[in-house]
Amino acid sequence: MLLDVRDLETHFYSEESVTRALGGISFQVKKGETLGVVGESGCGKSVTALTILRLLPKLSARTVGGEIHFHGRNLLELSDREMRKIRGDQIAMIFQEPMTSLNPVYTVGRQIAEAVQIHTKASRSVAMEKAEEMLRLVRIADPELRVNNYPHEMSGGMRQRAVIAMALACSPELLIADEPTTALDVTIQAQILRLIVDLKERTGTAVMFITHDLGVVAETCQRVIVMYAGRIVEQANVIDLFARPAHPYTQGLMRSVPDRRRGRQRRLPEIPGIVPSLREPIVGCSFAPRCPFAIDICREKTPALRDVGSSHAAACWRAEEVMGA
Amino acid sequence: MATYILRRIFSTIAVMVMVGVFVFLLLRLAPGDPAAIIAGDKGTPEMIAGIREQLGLNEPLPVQFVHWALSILSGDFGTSIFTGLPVLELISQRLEPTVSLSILTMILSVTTGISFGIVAAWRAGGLIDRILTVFATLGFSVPVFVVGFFLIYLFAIISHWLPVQGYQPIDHGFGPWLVHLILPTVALSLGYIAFIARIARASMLEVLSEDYMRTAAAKGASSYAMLFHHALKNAGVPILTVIGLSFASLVGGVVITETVFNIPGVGRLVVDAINNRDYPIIQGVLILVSALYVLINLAVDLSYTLVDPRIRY
Amino acid sequence: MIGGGFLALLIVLALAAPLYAGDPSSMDPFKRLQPPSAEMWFGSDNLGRDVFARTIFGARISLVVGLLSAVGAALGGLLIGVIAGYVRAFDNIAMRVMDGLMSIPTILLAIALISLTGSGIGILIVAITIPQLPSVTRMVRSAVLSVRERPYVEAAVSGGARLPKVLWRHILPSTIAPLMVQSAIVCADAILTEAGLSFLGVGVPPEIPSWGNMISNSRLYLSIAPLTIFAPGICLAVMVLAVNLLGDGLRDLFDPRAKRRR
Repeated sequence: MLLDVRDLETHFYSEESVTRALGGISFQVKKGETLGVVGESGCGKSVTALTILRLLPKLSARTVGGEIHFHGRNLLELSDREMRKIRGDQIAMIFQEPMTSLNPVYTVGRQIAEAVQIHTKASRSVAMEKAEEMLRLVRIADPELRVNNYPHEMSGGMRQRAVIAMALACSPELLIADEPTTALDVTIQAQILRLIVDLKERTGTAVMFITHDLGVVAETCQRVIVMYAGRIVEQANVIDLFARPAHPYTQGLMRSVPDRRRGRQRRLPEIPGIVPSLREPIVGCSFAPRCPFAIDICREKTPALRDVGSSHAAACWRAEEVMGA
Repeated sequence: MATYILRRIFSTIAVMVMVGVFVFLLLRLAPGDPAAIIAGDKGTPEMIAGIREQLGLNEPLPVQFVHWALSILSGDFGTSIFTGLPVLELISQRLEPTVSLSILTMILSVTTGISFGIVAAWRAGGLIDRILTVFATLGFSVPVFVVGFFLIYLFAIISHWLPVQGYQPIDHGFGPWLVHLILPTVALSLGYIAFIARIARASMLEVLSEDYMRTAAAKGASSYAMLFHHALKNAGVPILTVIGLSFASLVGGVVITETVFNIPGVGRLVVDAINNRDYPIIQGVLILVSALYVLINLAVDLSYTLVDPRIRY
Repeated sequence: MIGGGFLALLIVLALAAPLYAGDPSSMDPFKRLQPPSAEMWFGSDNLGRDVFARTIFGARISLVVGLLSAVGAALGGLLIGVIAGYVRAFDNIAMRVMDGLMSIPTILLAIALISLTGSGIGILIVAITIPQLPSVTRMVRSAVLSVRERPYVEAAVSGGARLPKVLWRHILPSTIAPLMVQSAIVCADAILTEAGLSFLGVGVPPEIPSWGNMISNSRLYLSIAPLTIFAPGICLAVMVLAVNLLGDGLRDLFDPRAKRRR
């Protein structure tokens, strides 16, 4: 087991309120596998990623409970110094916004080389050669010229390739990709997705793929967790999930994906209602107010994640009926 | 790029002409006939008429202005009414102490101000930040001569650690030079440290919340590398700008500091010139100081490209 | 807002000075450079004058200069800025003049103006106000330029409203807040400049008690009677601090975003 997250709870603090962004989530990532993390914005996907890397702002966010075991070591107990050694070397991350996630005042090559220099004793020139090699690996044309480009001299897709090159420069064992294609044009999205899948095959790194796009999950992932309101509501193999979704929320998500095979539809069905506020404690199932299956028990007691098949779990009182429906 | 530089130089010249007109009018509007002032108490009407002719005071004002501007451009700033010596010579005699004080103050306030700003922004809302914010507000409010006398009282009169006043030229030895400049520099720097710290803090705070700072953290960069390598260069443009703009008020501070610490610099020259109604000296200093200000800010503008590669003119 | 309250207290103290502070000008050659006593709380200066009384009366000069300069710079800057924001031809000339004024250090510019006419409180206030005009003018001008692009202003103009009316109705209200903040900054700066000029001997005439004059006058007696310098010095710092805090408070009031950022 590469990454083992247990009962992770993260809270955000402001002057007026406490936001329970993660309400105790558990999941695992195996060596070399690709795990999809799906959900609407605000459901806690990105917070999960930032909590694992301990990159949340210290003053306003705190991880109040749980454990994050990486290679058997609990990341939450490491010193800042030990944590820095892991970031970028063993666990790397790609962010959503390629336009703003590179430092505008340094060349792309230098920023990739920096990652190499932090984690190896490589000299500046060796690191720059490595940067050029990485740019070639992510299929940027003329890498020997592009290493000396500033971010503003590159297109969005090319910048995201550079960010990927930077993340992979130290051959991490786990790559966390937080919506890496959302901000890009559709054609570029496909290229970047293929690149990530391809590089994963070649380097054997495990990937945690955060997205709101079920289509992306189907193309790239082996296993999926579905998050809603700071909790995991369903967890399954990608095939099982698409064949027999066991949570009404997952079903809702799938219905709202445009299906290319069916051609133009009149109107995509949407999930009615809004995501609940995480500032107040939630009684019962957090999805109940929007759920077509909701009954009395759903509004009173919070359902725990339970097995509904082999390596298929859902947090729903009526999971069996939902699967049959 | 070239067109931008040309345009910028052109506007610099326009500002200098503006200053020139102002300073020229200052002398011409001064009460009393300049010729009579130069002739002194014993001047006969014939002598005054002669001087008027010699100075071209009978010509129309625009013609006089052109003559005056041309002589300034050729380095002739006129002669002091009081001493009869060339203005430029008087100024250059007094230059060393003033330049020493200004440069030391710039070094001290830029380094300390930026460091304070960075530390405050790094732990925004924390104890150090609060202390520095209070200090910055105080630094704005306490005038340089009050700080100056306070420092003299504390470090010279009570403890005898440093000399009370005066100046030692640098060719009498670096030690005495520096010792005499410590208190004036600290007194003058306090306001600038506060000013620069405040700007540096604000612009660092903005940069620290940028996405690329998170990217750097995800790479495993240390706090030091994050602050000084990634953030500072991005926060540089506003900091550079205020350093350039604060030069004008630095000069005012230098004039007062020289009086407090009895330093025989250009500031003392100006203050003495007022008491003697020695207009050519005031005029000369005004022109040189404004020219320097305009040039410094031109240099600051052009240096933006070095700090931020996105700025292309 | 602590600054505002404090400033109000200082104003009351200064206005009520004749009621309690004693005579700031009476000299007593037998009581020169006395230490603090029940009779003279802050001691006496080199001419035997009561330092406490002079310090209290000195507040009046600082307040008058500070407030009048702030009002003067605000009105002058408003007038020039609004016209510059509206009349292109005037804009170019006015802004170059402002650039020129800005490139001459405040104190030198004031010194030059005063050297023309000799000292006096009236000319002193004018000389302190003029160097402050560029900052206010620039601020007003940029506010006007940004407001005049707004749809509701364009609508009013194309609807046939007369220019002064448009200015009065739409542009002034949005300029008032930043103008008040800027005025507080000008006020603090003016108080400091007056003190500086008086300290240099070119400000308030020497017979009037002002903090700058007092400090200048007592320079040589720092080691014997430090209070002759520190009493006015500390009062000066406190007053400027109060005005600065008031300015910060006003800014937070008008722009709550700025507060959260700080």
